[in-house]
Amino acid sequence: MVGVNKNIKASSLIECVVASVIILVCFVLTMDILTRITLSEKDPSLDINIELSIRRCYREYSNHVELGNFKKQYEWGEMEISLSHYIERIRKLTIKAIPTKGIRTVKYDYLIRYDEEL
Amino acid sequence: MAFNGNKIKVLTRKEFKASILATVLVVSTLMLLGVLFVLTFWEMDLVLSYRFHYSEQQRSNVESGFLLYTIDSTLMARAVQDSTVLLYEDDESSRISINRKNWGLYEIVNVSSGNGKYSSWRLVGKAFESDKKVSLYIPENHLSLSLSGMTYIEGLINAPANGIAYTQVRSEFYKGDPIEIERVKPSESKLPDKDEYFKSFTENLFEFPEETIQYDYEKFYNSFDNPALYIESINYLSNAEMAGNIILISGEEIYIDASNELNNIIVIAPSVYIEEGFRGSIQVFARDTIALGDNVKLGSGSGLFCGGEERDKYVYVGDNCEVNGYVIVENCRQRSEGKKANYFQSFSAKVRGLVYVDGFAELHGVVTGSVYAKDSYYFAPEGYYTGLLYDLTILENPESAFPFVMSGPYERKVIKWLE
Repeated sequence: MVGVNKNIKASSLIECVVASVIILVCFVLTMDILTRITLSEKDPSLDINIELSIRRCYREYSNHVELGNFKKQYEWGEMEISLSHYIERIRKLTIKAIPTKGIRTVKYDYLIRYDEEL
Repeated sequence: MAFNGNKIKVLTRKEFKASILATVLVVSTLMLLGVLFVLTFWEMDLVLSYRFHYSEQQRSNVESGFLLYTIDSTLMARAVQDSTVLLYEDDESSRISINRKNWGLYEIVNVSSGNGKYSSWRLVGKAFESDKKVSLYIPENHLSLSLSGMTYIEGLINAPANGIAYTQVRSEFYKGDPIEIERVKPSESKLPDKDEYFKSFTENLFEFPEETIQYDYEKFYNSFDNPALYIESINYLSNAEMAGNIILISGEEIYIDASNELNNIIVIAPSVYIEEGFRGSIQVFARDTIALGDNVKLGSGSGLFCGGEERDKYVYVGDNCEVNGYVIVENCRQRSEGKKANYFQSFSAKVRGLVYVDGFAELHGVVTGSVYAKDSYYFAPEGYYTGLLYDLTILENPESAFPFVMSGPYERKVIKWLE
């Protein structure tokens, strides 16, 4: 009979408190995340604009004569371009897109051929 | 069996109780997971966007790997034991894997991304035919190089010291402009040396492995990931479909008719005849004869090689033929009497790439790339003309790719994608 009495009943105070806390935490977390998501502005064309700008930038800087770091401003944000020597006739081109809105920063690294006579 | 009321009672007691703490915890966790699942769908564009950028970077790494391989001659030496190369020091995800093997007189190269998801096989050749980078090379033979008819040559020329003469064939004079003297340099007494791989490959051309399979009219495709498949050909090849890492071999001559679909394979036989109208992409290695009927089109990465032991050699390229790759004739038996061409290229034929003839060459039509010929002849009905180029156009093309034949420093060039 002693063993039977040790069972935790659903009506016990501890169980009610623990269950309430868990449900409350879940609720608070969900509400917080949902509020953040629904209030942030979504622009589906942003990604496309960024990708197009990166491609344009790649074409432009593939034949760029000077090495160095460059910046370009766009409607959607800023582009950081880094052109450095890699080996022989190969250069490293890094393009980093930093949108004004959102938290996504896109970065690509390329190796590109560079011939002096071009 | 008698009905037992106690057993039912025991089963009823095993019911899952919703009131215990563990159940509450499990249910709460499931609810939380459900919420996260919904949120993931809500932000799916973010997930897809990350995945897209990752894929793009991996693809760029594969392209960068090919660029590095073609330009950096020390790359394979620097590659660590597992043939991997780290493109960017601060980024372990930029590690790529590079594998290469010889394929006829070209190379096939595989570059794959670190996770192996993005991979490409490509056929690679040389960016220049040799370090001379000339359009025409005729070794010193103490004669002058004669041009006649509609002959037109672009680029640098290495010719005998006696220079270039403009002459007539029957009543037909040279119709082009004189060649600028700055473009002509004296040549050496023999054709440039060949590289070691070329020598070893062509010397052991007819040494086949013991494991070969018989051709049985089936379609064959073998990926370049696998070891090469040696298939013993029948004499008359018809309606065959073969592509990839396949070497078609025969101890006797092979006749390939126009119904065959052969792509990127190698054919090795004493003599090879290709029927009029055939289209495909093959490297042909023969010992005695290669003949292309009219309108044969061999796509990029193709080639005709006739060499091996010294004997009579003959390569014939018929009317309206196109060979995108190379034509090489070597080790021709020298005849002081009864001279005949070792290579004949018809008036309407086109070769894009390298023509290398260590013998008597009768060249007409168009060559886009380079011509190296020991002796140029024109065999007319009334007799033969020595040291003459008649109705031949040689054009420069910076996009040409060449086989690994001549020694000296070189740069590689991707010819085409294979897989």
